[in-house]
Amino acid sequence: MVFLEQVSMRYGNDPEILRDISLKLQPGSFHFLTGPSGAGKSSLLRLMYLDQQPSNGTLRLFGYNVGRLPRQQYPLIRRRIGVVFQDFRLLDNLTAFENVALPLKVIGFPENKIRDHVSELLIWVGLADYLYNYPKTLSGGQQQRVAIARAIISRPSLLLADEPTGNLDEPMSMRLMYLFEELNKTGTTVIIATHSENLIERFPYPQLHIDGGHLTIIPGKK
Amino acid sequence: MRLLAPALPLGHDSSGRFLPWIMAFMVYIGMLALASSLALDRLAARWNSGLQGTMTVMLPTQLTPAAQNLLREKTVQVINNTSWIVRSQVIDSVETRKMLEPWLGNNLNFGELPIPELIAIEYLSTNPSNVANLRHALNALSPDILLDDHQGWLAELLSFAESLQGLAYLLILVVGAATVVTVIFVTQTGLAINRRIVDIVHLVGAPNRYIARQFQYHSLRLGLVGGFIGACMAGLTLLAIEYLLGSLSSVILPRLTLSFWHWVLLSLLPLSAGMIAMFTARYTVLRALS
Repeated sequence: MVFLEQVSMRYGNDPEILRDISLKLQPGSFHFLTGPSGAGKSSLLRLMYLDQQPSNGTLRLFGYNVGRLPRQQYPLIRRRIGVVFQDFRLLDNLTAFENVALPLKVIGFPENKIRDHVSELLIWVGLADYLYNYPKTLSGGQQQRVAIARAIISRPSLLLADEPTGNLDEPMSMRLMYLFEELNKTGTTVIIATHSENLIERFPYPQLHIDGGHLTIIPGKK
Repeated sequence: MRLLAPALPLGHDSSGRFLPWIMAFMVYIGMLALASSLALDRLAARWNSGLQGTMTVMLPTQLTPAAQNLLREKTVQVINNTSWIVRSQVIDSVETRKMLEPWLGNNLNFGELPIPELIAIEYLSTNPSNVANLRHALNALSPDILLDDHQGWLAELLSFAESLQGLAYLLILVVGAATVVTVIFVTQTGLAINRRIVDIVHLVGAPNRYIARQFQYHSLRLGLVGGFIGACMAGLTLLAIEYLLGSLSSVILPRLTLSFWHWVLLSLLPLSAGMIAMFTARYTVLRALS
C-alpha cells in the first residue's frame, strides 16, 4: 500500500526535513502520525499525496514507483487517496455540497448518485442545514467536517488526515474518529497526523513518530 | 439545485470580462474583410465574363464623312470575312454617348471630343495568332484603326482585384492571430488567478484535461457571445454599405452584392471565432499544466 525506502526530502536548498525514512504500511492499517511541530509530519503526508517528490529514496504507492510514474498518471493515484488538509482547502466559490461532490464529479460519477451520496454524508457529519452554504459562512469546525466529507466521499484506499479534529469539540471528534474506524474496517488504510494525546489514548493505534527528520514506529494496543 | 457548478469560477474573475468585446471587434473586422474579398471575387468574375468573347474595333474620326463611310464599310467587310467572329455591330454615336454619360456626365459637348467610332465584335473562341492576323488586316486598311481585345485592361483590373483580395485575406489572418494571442493571454491570466483552485482540483484527482475542459467551454461561450455581437454589427454595416452603394448607381463603385452562400460563409466566421477561442484555451491550459 505505502512503501518508503530510505526516503529523504527537502524544500529547495533547505536542510533535509525527512531523513532516510523507511516504512511499509499494509492495506487496512490504522496509524497516528505524531511528533513535535515542524518535525515533518505534514511533509510526509505531502509525499504520500504526491504534492512533493522525495529528494532521495524510493516511494511506492499501491505498487507504483512514484519516482518513475509519469505525471499524467498522478490523477489515477490521487483518486485512491483522500486527504484532509490542516487548512481545509475548500473552494470558496462552491457550496459545502459542491465541495464534497468534487471528487465524484472529477471521476464522472452519475449525478443522481452524487446527490444521494453527498447529501447522506453531509447529514451524517451534522451539516444537514448547511448543504448549500459557502465555506466562508461556515465555522472552522463546520469547514473541517466538509473537508473530511470531501476526503472520504469516494471511499479512498488511503486516507491521510492532517489534524482532522483540531477545530472540533469532543463529541464531534469522537463521532468522526468512529467514522474513520468504520472506513478502516472496510479496508481503507488510515494515517492521522495529530498532536492530541487524548485522541491517541482513546484510540490506541500504532504511531509513526517523527522527530528530527527520523521516523520511529511506536506499537499501539489495538 | 446547482449540482454541477464548475469548480473554477472563471465567470467571476476579471480576466475574461473584456474577451467578448475583443472577440466582437475581431469578428467585425474579419467579416468586413471577408465580405470585401467575396464581393471583389464576384465583381472580378462579372468583369471577366462581361468582357469574355468580345473585342472592340475603334475607327479614327478625323476623316471626311465619305472617307469615314468607306473605311467603316471596308472594316465591316474584313470583320465579316473573319471566320471565328460570330457577330459584329457598328455602335452609332447616340449609343456611344449613352455609354459615356455615366463617366463624363451629360453636359459635355460630345461633338468636340475625339471619340472614335466603335464596332463591337463577338466570338466564341480564338487564339492570339487569329487576333494578330485580324489586327494586321485592319491596319492594312488604316494604321489608325485600333483593335482592343480588352485583355490588357482586364488583366490589370483583375490583378488589382486580386491584390485587394490578398490584402483582405491577410487582414483575416492577422485578426485570427490577434484573436489567438488574446485568448492565450486571457487563459494564462485565468490560470494564474485560479492557481490555488487548480491545485486543489488536481489534489482531488482531476487530470489536466478536466481543468482544460472548464477553460475551453468558458472561452467558447465568451467567443460565441463576442462573435454574435461582432456578426450583428458587421451584418448591419454590410447592409448599410450595400444600400449606400445601391443608391449611388455609379459605374465606378459597383454594388456590393453577396450571394446566399456568401452570407452562409460569413455567418460561419463567429462560429469559427468561438472554436478558435475554445481550442486555443484548451491548448494553452494543457501546455501550462504539463
